[in-house]
Amino acid sequence: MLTMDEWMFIRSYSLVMDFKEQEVIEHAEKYGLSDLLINADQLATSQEQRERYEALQHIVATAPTLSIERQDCSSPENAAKFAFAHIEKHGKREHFLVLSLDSRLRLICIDTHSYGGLSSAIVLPRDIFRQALVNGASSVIICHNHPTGDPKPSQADMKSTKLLLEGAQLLGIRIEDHIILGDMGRYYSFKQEGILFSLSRDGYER
Amino acid sequence: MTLKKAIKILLDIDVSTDDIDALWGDPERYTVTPEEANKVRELIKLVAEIRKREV
Repeated sequence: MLTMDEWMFIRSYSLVMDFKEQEVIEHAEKYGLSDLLINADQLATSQEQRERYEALQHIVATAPTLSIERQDCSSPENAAKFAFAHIEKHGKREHFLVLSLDSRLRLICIDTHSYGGLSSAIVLPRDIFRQALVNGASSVIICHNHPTGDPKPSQADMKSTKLLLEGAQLLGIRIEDHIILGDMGRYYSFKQEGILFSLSRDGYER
Repeated sequence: MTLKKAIKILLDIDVSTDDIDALWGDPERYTVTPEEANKVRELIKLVAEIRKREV
């Protein structure tokens, strides 16, 4: 029986390699997941698949060893720091980010969901939480920035946060925080301000 | 095989660098659209997962 992590790995591997998922599952069950990189050439039956297999091997061999040591995101300060760093790379427009966290509140990855913020872009809960589920996240931290520099939440921010909390509750994903980023390292944490709990319906447990 | 060729084969994307460290660190900079950058990020995750599972 595959775990959720293993299943997600197989799905991602099958998509990139253009292999049939069922064949990948059978191979993994027979030889183990690690065999999919070093000895799965029999799955590559076409010239195109063989080229993909070779390309992936090349990338794995040359890719930098990323820090897969997950960073602690249990404090708003740390989460804001990662979000600021992510946004800095992409200019001063509005960003809407989702930080996917594991069960120990460590950062799995940061996904950008729009470059329009909550007020000027449509941020659909289903898009946000779909990616969190794909990432295997136990919880998420939502972040967006105010290009004006003032991190104080607007009424629209409050309303959107409430809607997202309700959506998350239905899907069993925990929203750990909603952080608004301003200028000069200023941020507003709904959790820190005690707003997250009061916005949640039916006593969203903190 | 160059990085550009490998990425083209795997993702059908033309990236503008052969420096894998640069691409891994900032996919948006070396791709044209956010969708392409996301595809690169998915690949980064897959490679990280493979690395974790390497014997």
